[in-house]
Amino acid sequence: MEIAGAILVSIGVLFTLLGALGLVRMPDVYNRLQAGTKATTLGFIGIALGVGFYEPQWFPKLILMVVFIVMTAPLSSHNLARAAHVIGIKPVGEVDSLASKEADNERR
Amino acid sequence: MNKIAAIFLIGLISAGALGVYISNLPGKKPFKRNGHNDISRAYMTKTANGGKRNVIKKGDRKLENSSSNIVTAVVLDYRGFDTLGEVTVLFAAIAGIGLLLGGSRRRRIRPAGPVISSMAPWIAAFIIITSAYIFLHGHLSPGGGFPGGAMIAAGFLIMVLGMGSRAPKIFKTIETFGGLAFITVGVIGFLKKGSFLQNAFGSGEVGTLFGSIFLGILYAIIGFKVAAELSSGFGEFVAEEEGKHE
Repeated sequence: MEIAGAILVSIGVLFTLLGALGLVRMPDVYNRLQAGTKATTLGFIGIALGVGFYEPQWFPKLILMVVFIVMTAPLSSHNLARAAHVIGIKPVGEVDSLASKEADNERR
Repeated sequence: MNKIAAIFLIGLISAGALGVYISNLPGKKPFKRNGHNDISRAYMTKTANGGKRNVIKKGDRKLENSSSNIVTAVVLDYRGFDTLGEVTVLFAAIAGIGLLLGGSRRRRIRPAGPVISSMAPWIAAFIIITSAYIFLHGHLSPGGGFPGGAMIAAGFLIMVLGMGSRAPKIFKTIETFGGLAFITVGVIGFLKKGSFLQNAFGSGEVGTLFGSIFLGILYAIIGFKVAAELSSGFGEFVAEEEGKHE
């Protein structure tokens, strides 16, 4: 039981560390959002389930927290990316497919 | 005009209650002895030990207030009058923000995208249920009326921003009745036990939800009042914007 909890917490901590590293290494807002959201969501799930293995009577609350994080983290990163796109931050690569699609819609 | 009258009324009632309270204080005793603050230590040991030798446990009865959270016991029971003042200060701050900034900061809110607007009711429901848990369990676990009320206001903020619904006008009524209910609980304590905001509802079993009805009622009132204050402070901005742009 405790070994399983320790393994899960270690996985969670590893993914959170990778997410923090991604925040430093990634080139622009969109890539940073991807690193900061995806990796830390998985990291939080790992940490919460691991703590649930340590303390089984906390498990329902931890499941609720995981559900809430899974619901809100994509929403917040989506909204941040949308806001960044609205105020005109360009992605680092050549392709900005959302901008070209919006331009197409305006041309019609 | 309404707000000024409300502030004046609350101030008047508070001043009267303060007079009664000061005239009922026991005689002068030295507050500090041997370098220790005896009052704080007395209240700490009274809450933690219940006047007995051992620390209180779940299931103990016949305590002064059966709160298992010492902060709540001090904030709402022994120091409840100060908390009434805190809630009033928050109301005054929100009223001041509405007066000073409500007219000048008019900005159009960009409507939320389909992702946010379809998920906003679920998130808001989740947040409001969690906040009810937090302010009902204020005497059992960390939390209470102030963070619970702030979370309710956050839920309404998500509904207003994400779904484009108008801020309801009912918040000011809720806020007024919250203040009135707080003072009513205090007056009940004054009539039944002889001191403003004294625990007049008895105390039950430690560690249960209905063990300490007095603290639960007060924290629920504070939760609704804080939520209404914060939400109506935001609602003034939105209402004025919609009036301007439509």
